Amino acid sequence: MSEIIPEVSKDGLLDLGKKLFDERRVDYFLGYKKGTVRFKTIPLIARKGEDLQELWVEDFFHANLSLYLKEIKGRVGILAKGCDSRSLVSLIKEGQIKREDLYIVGIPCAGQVDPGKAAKAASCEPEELEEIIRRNQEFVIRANGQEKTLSKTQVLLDKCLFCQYPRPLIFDSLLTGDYVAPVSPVARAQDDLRQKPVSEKWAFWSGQFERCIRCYACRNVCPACFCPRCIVEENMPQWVSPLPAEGDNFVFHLMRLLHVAGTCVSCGECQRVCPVEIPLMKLNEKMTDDLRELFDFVAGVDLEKALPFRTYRQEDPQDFIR
Amino acid sequence: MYRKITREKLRKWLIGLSARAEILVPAKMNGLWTFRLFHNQELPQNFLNSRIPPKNLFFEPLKGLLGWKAADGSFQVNSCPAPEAARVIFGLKPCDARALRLLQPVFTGDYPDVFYAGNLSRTLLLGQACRVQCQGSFCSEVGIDRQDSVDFDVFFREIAGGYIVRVITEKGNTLTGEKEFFEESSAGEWNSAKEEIRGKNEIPLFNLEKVKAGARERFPDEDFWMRVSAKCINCGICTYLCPTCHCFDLCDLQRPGQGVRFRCFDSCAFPDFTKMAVHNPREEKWRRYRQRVSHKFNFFYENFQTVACVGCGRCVAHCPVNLDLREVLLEMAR
Amino acid sequence: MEAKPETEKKEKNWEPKILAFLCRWCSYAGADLTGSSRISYPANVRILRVPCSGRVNPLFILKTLRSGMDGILVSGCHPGDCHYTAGNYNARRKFAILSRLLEYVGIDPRRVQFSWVSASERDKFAKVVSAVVADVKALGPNELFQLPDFGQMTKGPTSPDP
Ligand code: SF4
Ligand code: SF4
Ligand code: SF4
Ligand code: SF4
Ligand code: SF4
Repeated sequence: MSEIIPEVSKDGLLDLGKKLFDERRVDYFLGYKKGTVRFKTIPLIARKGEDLQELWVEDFFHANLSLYLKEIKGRVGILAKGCDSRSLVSLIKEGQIKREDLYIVGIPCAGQVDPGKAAKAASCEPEELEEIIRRNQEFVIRANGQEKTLSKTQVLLDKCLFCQYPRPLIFDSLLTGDYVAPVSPVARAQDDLRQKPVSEKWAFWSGQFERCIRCYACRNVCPACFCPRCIVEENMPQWVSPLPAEGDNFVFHLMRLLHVAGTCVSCGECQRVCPVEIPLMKLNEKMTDDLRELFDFVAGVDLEKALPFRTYRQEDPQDFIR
Repeated sequence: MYRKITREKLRKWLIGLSARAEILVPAKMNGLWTFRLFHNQELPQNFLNSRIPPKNLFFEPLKGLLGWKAADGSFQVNSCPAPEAARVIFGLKPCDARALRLLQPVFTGDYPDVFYAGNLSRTLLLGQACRVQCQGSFCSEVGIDRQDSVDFDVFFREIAGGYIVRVITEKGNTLTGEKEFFEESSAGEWNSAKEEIRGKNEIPLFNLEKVKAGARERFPDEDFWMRVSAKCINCGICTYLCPTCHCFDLCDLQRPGQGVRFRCFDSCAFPDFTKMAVHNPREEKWRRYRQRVSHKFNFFYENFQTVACVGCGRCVAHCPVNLDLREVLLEMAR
Repeated sequence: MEAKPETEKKEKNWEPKILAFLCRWCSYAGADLTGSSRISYPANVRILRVPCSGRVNPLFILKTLRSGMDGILVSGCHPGDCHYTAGNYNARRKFAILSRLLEYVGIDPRRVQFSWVSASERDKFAKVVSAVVADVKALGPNELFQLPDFGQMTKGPTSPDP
């Protein structure tokens, strides 16, 4: 078997993928292909070398491809950004996948574009955006025939602005290219809601929960939600009622939040796909902050450290217990 | 019959109507366009379409059907009354109005649904012509005119400073007959108010007849459906945002001494949608995706002689993995 | 209209309903001892015996809130005393996160409380229950999850702007 170089160029990726298939090292290769809708790419699920012809690795790597590992079993080659690689670490720790089955091509991530946010910054409707072009450390936006230059903070997804791990944590080879302009992490803005009185918190969240239509896209897109049968589908007895009413949505969201605690790597997919734009990351961030504070645990960064709910310390905080 | 009205007078007219009816107009809530109660505000000019289809105002995502109470040895069941209060919705788009009409035979056919029928008959539908093609849409390919429609009571075409109005139903005629607001107009003026749509497909994407034929032919082709559905993640976005999807579930909520029976949406994308005691005929993802496409372009057509897709593009624009219905249809038409 | 004084009276006499998840080895035995020692404690608690505090899935707590209970108490053995060695240590981690998240979405932490009560702590059990009942009384009924009037139960555009 020939030696695989740890770095691979954009053009070299196609050859690498084909080689992986030829040498029977993978049965599938997960990548991206050009989207049919602006600022989107389509997950490419290649079963053979020829399928890779459509591979497109220029921009808009929004999708966390590790979600397909719920379904696709066997040896898989996969493209992974920094946060996606944390999902892979999480899944390996949860025993869902094996490291040796994966061939990971890391993407050193320069941050992903949030079209909604860019539209707001350019004061237009998202539908009116025509183009978003990366130019050095800035972005050029074209909308309604006009050009505007926006800063990274105005265009990138919030999660990317304070991303601590833009470079994948585990990989077999690393993609080189012009995206290697790592975002310099900025401190995450304090969530104002946390300081508010409890009644205001309910006012905020009940308003958000009320809007949830229970499409379950947040669950289905989430790599951490890998149960073959989710508890919301259980109906004998029925634990979570399917009514899209605020009370039942409260049960659904809190339940899911607790189920992904320790595995959720703040990849932000749930919030990105939510068709009614519920700020789910506020919940995830609160949960990850609590895990760090209470149990010194950060998900998806350490293959050795035990998951927070699989272990305990005798001196764990218990000031809330009578 | 054609009339015209200025922008300001239209607002005044709606304010006047609000004494007699509930008025809903396009408004932004949490950054999303939707139809909200009218608070005498200026009507928006850059409204494309709502994210959540107006179907939800007729076939509600959550609807109480009946309730029961047990008290002092008696047991009482009450059914939820059919909606009656008059209502006006302004700013609906031709695709969504067509969708409301498409659902009519489903809800008012053999098993009439008093709620859907009540909602339709209590509502005055005021439509508005599109000026920009929505992302992902293919409405003209499925036979919808973005600048004209007869699915409304009254249809508005925007001109500088106001609107030219096409009056379609008798109800619409009576209400727009108020001289104080509306002036008479002509077919000529109506025709000259027709606009070029911005961003439209120059060449039709596909031929609908071929799609319908393809939908029948492709049905047994398992490889085809497996291939096109491979990336689908089985979320319900495409069904919950679709103006014509209408699958629902019934469930009860109980408390000591009382309870309510509800109807809520369900989706053929969900694995449990067809689960029965011993068998699930749509266990695999490709069968569910096939169901969604076939229902719209094959079964519904067989039952009601029209396809159940109005090409609004919501499922195309909001699918988390960009599974583009247009591409699937294109392949079926080949 | 005539019914009004009736409901007002009802509200004045309102008593909270509290569900207590008690582990069978310590807290349930403690509650038993409290009763058999004829120490009185408020009758607002409905006791549900569980094998271990570790058995209490956070979903039980969410579902209890959703079903309209006014308050919840979860009680188990003191750390180190778990019949299954570490059930309560594991439970403690889950509850720590749960109670913080509940607070963050706007559920007053006094509605969902936790305690360690051993089989011999009959006074502590009475004290904990009284304190929880007093807290929940001060908060008032759990109105967040009331069953809505079925006639109104339609999701529509008339709901207030958040
Ligand atoms: S994606 Fe959004 S609307 Fe859908 S279930 Fe999740 S939170 Fe609710
Ligand atoms: S919400 Fe919970 S039960 Fe449902 S899939 Fe996610 S982890 Fe599993
Ligand atoms: S809960 Fe959301 S942020 Fe966390 S892993 Fe799942 S999709 Fe990513
Ligand atoms: S929206 Fe897309 S991913 Fe979700 S069920 Fe529909 S086709 Fe599948
Ligand atoms: S299938 Fe898609 S394009 Fe057709 S009506 Fe439904 S949401 Fe619109």
